[in-house]
Amino acid sequence: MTDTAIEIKNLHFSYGRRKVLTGVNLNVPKGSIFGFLGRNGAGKTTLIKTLLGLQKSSAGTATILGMDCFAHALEVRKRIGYMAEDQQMYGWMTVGQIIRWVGAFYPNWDNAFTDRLVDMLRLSKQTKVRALSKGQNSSLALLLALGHHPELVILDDPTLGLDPIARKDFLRRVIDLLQSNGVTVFFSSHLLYEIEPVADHIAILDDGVIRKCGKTEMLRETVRKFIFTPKPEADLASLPGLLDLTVAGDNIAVTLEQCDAQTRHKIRELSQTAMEESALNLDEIFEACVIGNKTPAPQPAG
Amino acid sequence: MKLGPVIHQQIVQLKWHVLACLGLVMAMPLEEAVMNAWQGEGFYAGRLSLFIPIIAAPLLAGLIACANVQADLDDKRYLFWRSRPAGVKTFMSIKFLIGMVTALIIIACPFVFAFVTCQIVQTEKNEREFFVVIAVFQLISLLTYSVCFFCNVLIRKTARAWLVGMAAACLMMVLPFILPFHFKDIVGDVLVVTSAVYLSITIGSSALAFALSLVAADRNWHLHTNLKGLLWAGAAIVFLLAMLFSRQVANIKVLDEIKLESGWGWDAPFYRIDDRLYFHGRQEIQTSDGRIKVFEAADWFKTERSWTVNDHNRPDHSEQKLELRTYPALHAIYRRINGQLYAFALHIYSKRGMIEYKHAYLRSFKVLNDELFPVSTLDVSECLASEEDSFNRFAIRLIDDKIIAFVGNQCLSAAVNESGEIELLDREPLTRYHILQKDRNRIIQIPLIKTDTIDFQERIRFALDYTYKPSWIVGDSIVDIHNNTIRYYLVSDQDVARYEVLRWDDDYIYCRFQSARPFTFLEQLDRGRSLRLERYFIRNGKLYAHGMQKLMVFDVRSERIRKLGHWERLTDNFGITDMEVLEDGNLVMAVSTGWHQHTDGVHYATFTMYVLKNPE
Amino acid sequence: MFRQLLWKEWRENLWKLVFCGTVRVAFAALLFRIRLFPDAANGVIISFVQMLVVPVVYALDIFSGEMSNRTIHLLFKFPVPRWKIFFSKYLVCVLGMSLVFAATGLSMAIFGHEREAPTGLLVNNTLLFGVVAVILFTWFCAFAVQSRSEAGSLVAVFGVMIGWGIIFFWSLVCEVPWANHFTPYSIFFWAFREVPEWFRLSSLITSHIIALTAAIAVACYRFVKVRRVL
Repeated sequence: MTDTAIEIKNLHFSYGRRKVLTGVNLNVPKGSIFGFLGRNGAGKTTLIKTLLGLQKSSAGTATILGMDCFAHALEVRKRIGYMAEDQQMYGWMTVGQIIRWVGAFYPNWDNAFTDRLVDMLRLSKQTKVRALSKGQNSSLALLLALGHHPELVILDDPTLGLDPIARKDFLRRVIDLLQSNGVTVFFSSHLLYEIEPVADHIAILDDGVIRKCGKTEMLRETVRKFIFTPKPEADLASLPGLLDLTVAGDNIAVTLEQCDAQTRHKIRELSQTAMEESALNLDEIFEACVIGNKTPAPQPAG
Repeated sequence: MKLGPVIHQQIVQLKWHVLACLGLVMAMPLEEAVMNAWQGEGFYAGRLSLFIPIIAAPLLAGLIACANVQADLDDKRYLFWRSRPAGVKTFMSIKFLIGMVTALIIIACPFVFAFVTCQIVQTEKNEREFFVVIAVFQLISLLTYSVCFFCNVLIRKTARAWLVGMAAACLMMVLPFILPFHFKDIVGDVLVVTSAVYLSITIGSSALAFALSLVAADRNWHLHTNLKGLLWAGAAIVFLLAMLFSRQVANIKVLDEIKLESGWGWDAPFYRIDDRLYFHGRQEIQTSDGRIKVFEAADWFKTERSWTVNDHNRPDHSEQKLELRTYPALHAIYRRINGQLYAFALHIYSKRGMIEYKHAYLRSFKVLNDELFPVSTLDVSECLASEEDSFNRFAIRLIDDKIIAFVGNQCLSAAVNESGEIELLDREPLTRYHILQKDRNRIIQIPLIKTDTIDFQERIRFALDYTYKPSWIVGDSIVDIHNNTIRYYLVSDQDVARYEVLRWDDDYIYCRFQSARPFTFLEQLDRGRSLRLERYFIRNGKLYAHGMQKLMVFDVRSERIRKLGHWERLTDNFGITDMEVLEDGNLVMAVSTGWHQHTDGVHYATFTMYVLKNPE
Repeated sequence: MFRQLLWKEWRENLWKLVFCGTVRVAFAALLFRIRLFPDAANGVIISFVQMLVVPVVYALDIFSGEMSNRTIHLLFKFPVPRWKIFFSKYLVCVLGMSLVFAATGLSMAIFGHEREAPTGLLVNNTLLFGVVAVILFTWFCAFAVQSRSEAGSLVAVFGVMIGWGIIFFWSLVCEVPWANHFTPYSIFFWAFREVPEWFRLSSLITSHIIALTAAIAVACYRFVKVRRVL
């Protein structure tokens, strides 16, 4: 048995000529809650669909629990739970009917467990699916994703369209239900504050590649922002791990990843004055990774 | 709001559906043109391949309507454009018009293609037909387009809206036949469906559908989610209407039917002899409680034909090579007097193959032990007109105990006594009658027979029947005498006309047209076929009329002539040979249905005998 | 698992069965009641209309309905191969159509009992046209399986009808009997016959089995390969 739940190596995918994933590499350790960040259209959903074996990648491999996603798609789907964004279900079925119906597809469906979940999520088995509110709809989708005790749960923007209170409520339940069982959770979202309190690993996908990946704590510690006035001859582009660079008058602010003593030493060399160092929250890290990267590094004045 | 961008958006949005529909309607004509070119006849599409576009056109028009609506009215998009400052009615009108024009152009394409290519190759010139067809299908397509448009505004599910819309449009097309729900025949008086009615229906309902869709879009009427209720309601309505419709077109109920075969050929009438009914000179028909039974007829009846036919072999006439004609044709008139059955007939002898009458006899026979014995013969040869004066009329009818007969240019009246013998009572010359004038506004003059031995009503009846229907004079009458009014009825291609006898004098009866019951559109639809009502008669206040493939029954005693029922069959292999009214009002109808070859190689005519329920 | 898929399809398509069945039986009752046509012709009219209408009703939203609702996403993420999903839909529809035809055939046998046409003829015609309806339905599926909108599937359905019409027309005009045998419309040569001759019947059966198998294969392949809806 491997220690990784999901292992993606150099994955490429394109819709016709449009390239969506260009060499994604990702490891999701078992038992982790993995936050998967990306802007709208970054390719999150495409990657998840590839993981579910719904489409074949044009190059690279993706394995889940040691199995190839496409070749063993059915086996993979049996062992994972998936909850899509804005899941549409059959409106004419009742909650009880849809649970029984979905249960038929999984050999190890646990009816007692789903009954408990129905009570816990305050659903009624007699209600028709089309009569459910958005929050209840999400709860039902979650229930359907968990009923067979999956080893890995993939949540694709599960809270889309929920109000803040419902969203918090939902996340709390997810954590309650999953963390204690040692289930791996692969959690995709574009809302950072949603992921921050729960995720212990984070990956940031942008423009088809993983920009950043690692433990949340590690990221917080190693990504740092420095504000200083550079010497005129300073070559800022040579800074290792440069994520973002902004100019404000004489001062510039750089965001660097994997900061260590050496990095700090180098900045001191480039700086005319004393430098300020600050830690970043996840929001700022994401912004630095995603936006900072696209703007060409400006040359400081003078 | 600026219209340009909206129109552009609408057109672009419809682009794919329009192209697909165009491909569908043009496929067959193009194929035919290519095949014609392949076979060296030139690149043109004839009538043949327009069949598919004709059927598909209304369906595709509906499809374009649905696609057109759905593109802007599905839930999210409806909100999108309603949240802009766009006038709903203007927007929907533009949408409707663009779709409509596109649909109509698409539908016209195959016809235009066929027309143009035919003009170029100069073959199959059918210009008038072409324009009629194109106009008719444009109209029907307009109807389906509008109705589907409205349905989709309400339902917002393409497929279901299309199905419902098509059903609704079909319903509208048959509406003229169903409309007078309460009474099955009122249609004859109030609504003769013409193309004008159809024109108003199609254009009227299209306009209505358009107006309703504007309102529905404005108020966001939306039959949410699933349509089970709607479908059930729709099915129920369609079913109900179909049942009502079927009352309009349903044939008279068949109580029983039986198949018969006969080696005697097609001409298969009924004979009523005394109280028994015989078919085709061979079989006796018995009916009770609507069930029919067939027996072999008694021997004397079967041989009766040969008796009349063989009569000219009697020595005195066969030497002169005379030919016998009997009135009535084929079988005699039968009457039971004091428990004994007698037969009466008028026998005319003429030179073979010539219209030169030599002898005339009124004869009576007695039916005894399955054989016929002559009782009396009355020689009336002197009534025959001379050769110069070729005015010869022959007819015979038994009224109570009197025989009234036309022989040559005389009207005879004879009494039948209790032992079946015939005695001549009087003889009057016949009035030569005029050619009947057709003008319904003028009074009609019909010569009256001059005899005092029967009452005046029967004299009038005989005169009228002979004037209009000499060939059916023996048993049938077109005169109805009721409450001292005398009326007679004539059936033409257009209507059933009622004439009233106003007065009479010694020589003439004076009659006038009173009213008519025109045939409806549906009843006339088959005029081109052999469905003319050749034979008709009045029995117990009802007019029975039948042709080869059609039987109709009218009530003539009521204020207005009402249709009580009909039997009609739209196939060639079906010919009503005769019908008879039974005592209980039920009808027996014999229908020839074709030939059947037996294993011995002999061909038999096949018949079906129906007992039809008394139409009331 | 397959049973549950069938259950779902059955429930979703039940209204079609009840609707078509009721309408068809009512239509048969109507035609047999008004007796405008001989019973044998009534049989062919009823079977023919049924052959065209019932498959259209069944094929209209069977795939496009799920695609426009996006419920197809739910189905595709289950650990079930797609061909099973396809066949659950297909089989339920074929079963439903068969029941509709059975109901019509039975009602015609009852309405036409001891009347003009032999019962065998009426039932035979229903059967023959029923088989053709299944073939037509399969071709409808084959072409409509990837349409995302119901209007699209309607266009596909018409396309199939007219496409077969073109082949039929061509095979008649150019006298290509084998092609003509493959078109569903060749059934018209067989109407009004109580017992078709064995030789021609066997060639008809063979060609129709080939046509049906091809249609199923195309439909199933296209469903399994459906990608753009995701």
